Amino acid sequence: MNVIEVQNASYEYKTYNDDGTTGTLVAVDDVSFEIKKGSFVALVGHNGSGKSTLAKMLNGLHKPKKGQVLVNGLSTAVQSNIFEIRKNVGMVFQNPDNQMVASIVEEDVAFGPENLAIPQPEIVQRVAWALEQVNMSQYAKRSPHKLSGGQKQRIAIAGALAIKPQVLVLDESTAMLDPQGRKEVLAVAKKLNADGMTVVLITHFMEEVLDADNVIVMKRGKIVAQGTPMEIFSQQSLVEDAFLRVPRTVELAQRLSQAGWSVDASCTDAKALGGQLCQLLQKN
Amino acid sequence: MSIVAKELTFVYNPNTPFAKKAVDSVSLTINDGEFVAIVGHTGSGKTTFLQHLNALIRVQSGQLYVNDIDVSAKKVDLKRLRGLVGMVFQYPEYQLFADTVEQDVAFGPKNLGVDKDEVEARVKNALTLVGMDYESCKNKSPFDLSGGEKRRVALAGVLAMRPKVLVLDEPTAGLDPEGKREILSLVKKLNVEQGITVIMVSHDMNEVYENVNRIIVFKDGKVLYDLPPQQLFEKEDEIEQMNLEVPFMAQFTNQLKRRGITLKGDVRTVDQVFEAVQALKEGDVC
Repeated sequence: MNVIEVQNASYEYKTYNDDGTTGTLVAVDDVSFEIKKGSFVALVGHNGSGKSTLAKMLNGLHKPKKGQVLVNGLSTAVQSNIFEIRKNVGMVFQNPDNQMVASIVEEDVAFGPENLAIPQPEIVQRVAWALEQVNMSQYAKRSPHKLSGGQKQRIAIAGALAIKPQVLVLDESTAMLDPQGRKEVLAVAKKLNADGMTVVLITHFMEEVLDADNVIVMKRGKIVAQGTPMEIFSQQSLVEDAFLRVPRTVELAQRLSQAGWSVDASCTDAKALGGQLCQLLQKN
Repeated sequence: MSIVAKELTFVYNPNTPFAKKAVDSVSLTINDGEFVAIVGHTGSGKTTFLQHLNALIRVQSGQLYVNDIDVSAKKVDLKRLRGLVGMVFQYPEYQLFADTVEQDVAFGPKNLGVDKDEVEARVKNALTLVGMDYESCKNKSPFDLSGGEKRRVALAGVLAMRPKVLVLDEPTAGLDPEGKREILSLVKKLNVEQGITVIMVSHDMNEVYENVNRIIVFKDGKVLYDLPPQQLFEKEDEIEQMNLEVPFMAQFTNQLKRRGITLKGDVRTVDQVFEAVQALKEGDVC
């Protein structure tokens, strides 16, 4: 079952030139795809490829200028659907500092459900549940400003979870974090997905994409490829034409395999790949 | 001529209950023309150390020389020091402010008191160095540029000061893989062709591994390791204990080494590793 369907959707920004005239910049250009319920979808593309614009179309922050976006069959173009859609599609952005609204962690997480007019006892439950999901329960009474970037981002995820969405969209939510923070956020995303949440991960880190069910590659507003990580990364020239890169380990595995070494061409673990090569060499 | 730190120590909020030693008797020398990476966890003291280099933070105790300038002296010629050491902070494009690209890049040298013709020449040169076309971009608003272009213009603003040392704090953060590649090859070019000493802070161990000649690891305000990349990442257990990532190509070559197979030469990029493995085919197995 599809939770989100994007059908020939386009989006354009108005641009203002120095001479006073205006123009249009097509950020998302006639894009179609589906997101299956419970899947882990990665959206990748160069800076300016339109992936963040596309992400904002998934919950109606941007409404398509052409085509349509359906969330559980409801069109984002219909204003009366928006409330229902935003309840189902939660979003976390890049900069953790821009997403904190309260001075205490649990109040920050409660912001969403409060605005949905949920009864207070249930809010308390939801906040406790959401903080538990991101492993931040012990920080409930702390100030968000004193947390690390990864912790702040997990609080932001908890804030989205407290609305109990079906889909969680992470729009480069790991981009500003150090490797430790990135690991924490990714682990949370994977756990939520394992528990049934649909996750859409937008990222520049190709290694983060390897566990996704489906990878969507964007280039200049269009989708240029879609498939499993290995289907995508086995096409090195396609990936590089989209200004991306194949993860180093996968690239090495593929090149070794093509050169006649019988190693697993879809190996994603550098240590394991080294082990495979050793076995080959030491057999002789 | 080089950067020499001797027993450099810095304490935030000294003599208060909140005192925190951020840099703890660091001694090191960075020579002209080196390309060095500084790595370490958030809070390891790397930024505090670097802020000493152009006296954004004054020396509390210990000594620091940048070329012939004694930065630990009471009176420091800040103008000269800051002309010598260019700092590029994280997300430098957030610091763009002028109406046009030209004005933005000219801001630094103008404030150094450089005369008009020289400023123009420097702006032209700096923009060309970062791969921007001077004529077509000089009158544009820096805010109309793409993310990668903005970052290059911000870098040009620092290069227009003609620094001998360039300190970059996570220069590739937030860029796509192609943007990363562009910035890194640009920095490498500045290092090799212009002879600029480059000190780069990065969290991306793969990027560091492939590009620099020397890695300084900070931990709790101290220099824990100061080694060439391949030697550093041979210490796989120690690196993982510090919660730093071991680069993928190092994981691969380390695994071979554990089984008694040593790849020859410089094997840090995918290309180099692939070629070295291919060479084994010719019966070159150890």
